Amino acid sequence: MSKSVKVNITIGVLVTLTLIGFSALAYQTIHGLGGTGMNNVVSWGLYIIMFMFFVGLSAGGLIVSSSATVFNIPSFKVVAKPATILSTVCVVLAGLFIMVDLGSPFRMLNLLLHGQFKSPLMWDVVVISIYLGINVGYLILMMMKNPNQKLLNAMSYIALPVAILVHSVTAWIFGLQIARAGWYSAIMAPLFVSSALDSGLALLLIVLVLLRTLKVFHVENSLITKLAGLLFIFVAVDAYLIFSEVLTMYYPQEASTMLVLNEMLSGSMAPFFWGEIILGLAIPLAILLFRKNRQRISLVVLSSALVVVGVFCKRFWLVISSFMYPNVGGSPGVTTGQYIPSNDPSVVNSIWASVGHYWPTLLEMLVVVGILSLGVLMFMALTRLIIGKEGVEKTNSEKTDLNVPLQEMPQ
Amino acid sequence: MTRMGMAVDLNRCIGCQTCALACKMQNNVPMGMLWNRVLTESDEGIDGVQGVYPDVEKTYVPVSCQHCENAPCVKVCPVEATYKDENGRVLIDYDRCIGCRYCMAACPYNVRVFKWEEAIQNPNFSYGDPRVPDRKVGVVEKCSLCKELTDDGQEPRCVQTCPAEARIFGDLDDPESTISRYIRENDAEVLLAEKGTKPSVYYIGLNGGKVDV
Amino acid sequence: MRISRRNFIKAGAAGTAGLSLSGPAVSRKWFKTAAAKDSDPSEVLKYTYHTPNCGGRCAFICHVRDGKLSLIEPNTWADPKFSTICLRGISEIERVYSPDRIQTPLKRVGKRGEGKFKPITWDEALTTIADNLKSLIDEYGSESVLISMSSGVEHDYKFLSHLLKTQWVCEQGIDVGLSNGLLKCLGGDDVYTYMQNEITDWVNSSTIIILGANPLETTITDSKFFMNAKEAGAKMITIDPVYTTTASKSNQWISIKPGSDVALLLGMISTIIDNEWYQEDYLVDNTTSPFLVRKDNGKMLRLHDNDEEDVKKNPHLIWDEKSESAKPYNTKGVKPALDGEFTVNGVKVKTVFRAIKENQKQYTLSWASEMTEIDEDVIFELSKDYATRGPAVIAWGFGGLDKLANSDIAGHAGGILGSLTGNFGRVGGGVGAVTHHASTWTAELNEWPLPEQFKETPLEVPTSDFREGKGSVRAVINVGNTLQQHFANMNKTEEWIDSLDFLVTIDPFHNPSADYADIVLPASTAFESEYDITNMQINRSHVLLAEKVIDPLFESKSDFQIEKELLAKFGLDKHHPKTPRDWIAHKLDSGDPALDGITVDSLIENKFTMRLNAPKEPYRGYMDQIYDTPTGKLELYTESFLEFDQSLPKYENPDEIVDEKLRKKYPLQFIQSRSRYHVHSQFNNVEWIRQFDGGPKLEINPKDAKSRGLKTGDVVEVMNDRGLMKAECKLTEAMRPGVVRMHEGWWTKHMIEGNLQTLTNDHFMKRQYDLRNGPVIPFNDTLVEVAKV
Repeated sequence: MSKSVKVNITIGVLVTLTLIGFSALAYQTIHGLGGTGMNNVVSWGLYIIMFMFFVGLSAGGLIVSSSATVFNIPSFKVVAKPATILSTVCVVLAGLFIMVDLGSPFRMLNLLLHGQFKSPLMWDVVVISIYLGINVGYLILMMMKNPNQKLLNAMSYIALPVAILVHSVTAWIFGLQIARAGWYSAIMAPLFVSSALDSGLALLLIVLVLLRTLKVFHVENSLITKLAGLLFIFVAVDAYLIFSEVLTMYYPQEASTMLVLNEMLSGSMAPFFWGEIILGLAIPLAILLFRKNRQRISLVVLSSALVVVGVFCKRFWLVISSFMYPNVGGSPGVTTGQYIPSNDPSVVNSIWASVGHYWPTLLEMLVVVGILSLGVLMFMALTRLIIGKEGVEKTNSEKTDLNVPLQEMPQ
Repeated sequence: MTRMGMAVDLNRCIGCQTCALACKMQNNVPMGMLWNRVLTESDEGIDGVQGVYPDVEKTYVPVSCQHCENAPCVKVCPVEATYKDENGRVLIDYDRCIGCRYCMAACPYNVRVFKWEEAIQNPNFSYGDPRVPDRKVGVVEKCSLCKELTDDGQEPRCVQTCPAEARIFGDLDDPESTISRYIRENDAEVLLAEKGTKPSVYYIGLNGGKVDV
Repeated sequence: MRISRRNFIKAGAAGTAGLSLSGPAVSRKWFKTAAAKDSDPSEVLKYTYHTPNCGGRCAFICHVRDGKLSLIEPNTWADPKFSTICLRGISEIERVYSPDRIQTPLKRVGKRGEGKFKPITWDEALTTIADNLKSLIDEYGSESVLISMSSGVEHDYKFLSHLLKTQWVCEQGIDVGLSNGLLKCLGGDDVYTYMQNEITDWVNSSTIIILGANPLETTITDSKFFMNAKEAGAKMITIDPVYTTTASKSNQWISIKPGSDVALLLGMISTIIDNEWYQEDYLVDNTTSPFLVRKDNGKMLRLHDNDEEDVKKNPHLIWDEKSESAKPYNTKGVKPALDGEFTVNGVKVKTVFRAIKENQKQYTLSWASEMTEIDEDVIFELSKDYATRGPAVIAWGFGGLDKLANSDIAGHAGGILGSLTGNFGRVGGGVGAVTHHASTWTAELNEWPLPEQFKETPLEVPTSDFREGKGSVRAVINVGNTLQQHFANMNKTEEWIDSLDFLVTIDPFHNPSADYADIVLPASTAFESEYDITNMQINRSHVLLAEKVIDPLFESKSDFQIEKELLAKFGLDKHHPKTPRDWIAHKLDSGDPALDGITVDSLIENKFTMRLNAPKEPYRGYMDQIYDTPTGKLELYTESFLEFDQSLPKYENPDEIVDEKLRKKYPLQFIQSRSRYHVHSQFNNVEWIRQFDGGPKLEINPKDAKSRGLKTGDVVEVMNDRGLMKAECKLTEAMRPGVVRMHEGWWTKHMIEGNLQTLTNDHFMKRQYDLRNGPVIPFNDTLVEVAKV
């Protein structure tokens, strides 16, 4: 099969998945969110998880490209284009995930008409809009034949703090809520930033290797190795913050916090918690610790993939576990909002849950797959538009710039 | 100013669920959700007991919107659909709510319910007080302290119908109101005081809020 | 305009800042709102009251919007403390429109009980019924027809029973055991023997003992009076094997071994006598305790040694301490001896009080403790609380021990306890049934005149005995769910149903009894009628009037209309009132001064509730200390029960639950209890309520469950020699080990298999045929075994 046939098949599959996803979304828009696994106890689910996840993933790109200027790391400049495209696509997806989570999406305009700025969600709307603007601005500049370097520099200086802010504000959506034992924490913002950094960078690494394999964009091994080194640091910081957070939850043995923690350590959220600890932290750290491993592209990709999966797991347990136990406990609990009529009188309809449970339904998964497919398509389109075919040659000519020694990176 | 509030005497509450259904009726709440529910501290299901026979005990705690002075839900609503009105009630503008459910995440009392889909209505017509606004699919709803009745000088339906007369409604800002005196004289407590939400719903006989899990 | 206590800004605080709504202003405003709604054609207010047999009779204001019952709120009574409602009343919003409504008359096409029917016209249905009844009456006499009523139906079909001269019964043998015993002391013919004093009098009580009853779940609308009494300082003590809501709200809960209530009461009597906590003067003045009993044969000593029963002609004798001689008890100026043995005309006699003391010797505190599994000191303190803290109440009834075979003995013992402590005819006192709040001021109602030849046939035998081939019933008109609810041992009932020539069911809902009927008639609910005014009742010292709320749904007709149209088929409808309003107007026109000024019109003007012209204070029975007995005194000694050795209460075991041999096979007592969610078998199909109580659950203590390998949610088989049922089980520490429970009234279709009544004990005690209310059905005197399916 020729490359173009492969590409066409890929596009065909992605378009189909996108259409399926958006059909599911249309169904959801007509019938409401009842088809999701969410209920009145666990009132946020996969969509919000994906929102957080993609806000985080968008970090890697923008931070790498803007740090190139801000911290004068010229080697990073090389990957600015794919990084920014990735960042843009991720933040657009994040926005989409918020939209599909709304019960009344047709009223979204109310955000503009009646914005209430005490709400961290409103802060996020603002910061993400700016963030998206910067990304798009970057892309436009990059598409120019001779971009204004000053403007580019200025933008980098804005982009970095905005990127930090985006993750912090997203964290504050959760971290400022006294209602939820697992969320209410001062290090929620640093934790989000660190997760954003490691997952974002990991995704960037995967994408770079993929682009190189597809001969769309060339990256030197040394840069991959260097970025892998950075990833190690990010993951280590993330691990440190998570340890600090979990220890803080564990040590006082406070009852309501322990309910959440036990759910994470040994309850229904354990696969996600331990998934993160083992897949997302322990294994990547173990691999990336060694320079030899960092030089092996396959191991770097593996580690990156694990980090991405690990952070997804973290988003999952972070959102869900704090919903599971109502603060005001007792029987019969909370009305779930679900009532299934039955003609069989012996069918007992329990509308109650004293402990919340959540698992995404097929509908949610289809919507998510559709949006992800759309994201890939967007990425492909933007890559073609901005990097185009000459990308490989162009980056090849820039490879002499790769002269920052790896030894400067802390090990 | 008037700050409408409620006191529930748990020593009198018999867990009969009349308030839950009165609320359902008044506000045209469909099947599958309740704005007001009565909890027992137990893991035995509804009406369960704690302890081992014969050393058992049972306390009922009715829970609906606490109409907090420092309401987390009001703060987080991005479009001000949830707001605190001039009478101290936390209300929802159902035509403005975008259905983000941030308020549900922010509420420490789990008193908000979401209309996930077209709800089953038994009987299949709109019952209750016709002045109560309709809620479309995709909005959050909850206790309004029966705005339509309290605006009219009447008590909320749960207070009117409580067979044990366990509920008192009144003006918390008036130190001489029955409710204010009742709260003072009976050392009333609030749910989850440690969250600092300053609820307008007080409980007598809460024993330091044992309903906490 | 009365100021409702419910208006949150009290009249007294009218001057305070803020909302300037005083009580009266609010009331006016309320009225204006109501009037405004009346003028809105889409919403009208209708006044009625709740009729099912919880006894609540809550007065309602119903909002009818576009012809549909849309909102029910409590109506404000003339005495506003009675304004109330509970979850069952509210749930009528759904129940009236239930898919279980029978929509058209039905004719059975399958076997009895199979539930296969085809719709027919009203004319065909009524003609079929009339033809069948006519031919049966012609061949076997009018006594071959039985009208079996549920007290949940307000219109009682008495015109039908009188005009056709059939037999008529309403819930025979149910919850009448305690009353049977208590009536020995009190006399009269109160079937259920309610507490003598209205429950609002409880605020004057110092001790309130609730024995085997759970009013806070079953009589929800009285709960405020319970709470008021508790807050006023009454010590609330609940005695129950199960930790009920009432137990949880009481100052003290005493867990008792099921079936041993008689032993507890006897132990209390002994303790009170031993400690001389009894009221000597009261006993002498108001009871038969000074009456003389022959030591040789236990007969009471009377003035003449003949068969003359009339106490005026042949009074009982007492020992006059002044003259040191036996005198008729009603002689003026005598000083009767309470305790002692004497010789009168050579006959050795003792006082009734001495007889009680002697009878009590065997029932020591330690004996009672052993029997009841309650610590001696607990019984001692209980007795002391009851006898020495001031006015005290023993409240029981309607379930619990009332559904055991020895309940009459408990009733008798309770009567003696009340007498010893002077708690009859006392402010804050009383012994009797707590539920149904039936003790109130009342008034005489006019009876509808029927020509003399029309008289129903008295019930030949207790209804359950029809199943034993006694009596002459060949056709049953079942109004309600009586076939399943009013008999124990369902398999035997089904055999009887199968043997009947003709069976009709009249009900709004397709209840389990309907499945057996040959013809089913769709009755309207109490909210529907063809007539503007529908019902009237005297309750809680008020007259309550009900008007039509909505038109009859589907093809249903009101019970009034059904009876009238049925009588028309016999050409007898001319004796039936034309409209309910005519009938009610006639009833109210009795000339009783308590009804002065109370007419249909004045009731309508007064929002359908008016207080009787009666004293303001709570109703209290026997304040004149004249009882309904032949002697006018509290008769502690029942001479007529000498043959059963029950002239004074003698301990007897219940029928089945302490049978050690049977317990080896079936070690658990099975009880069916009332719950807040239902009224007997009504409301079990209401989805609003099923959100709380979804379906039948066998409640079992975790200890009993563990030994059977059960966990909550398991499907279990519950069985004994009478039958088997299957349901989910629920583990709860509220249950006493050895006792399993299910809320009563679940319809067969809600069960996985069988029904509660397939298990229940229907054995009658011989002595109880001689009691006022006949034998009691010992539903709870039932042993079972439970196993995982």
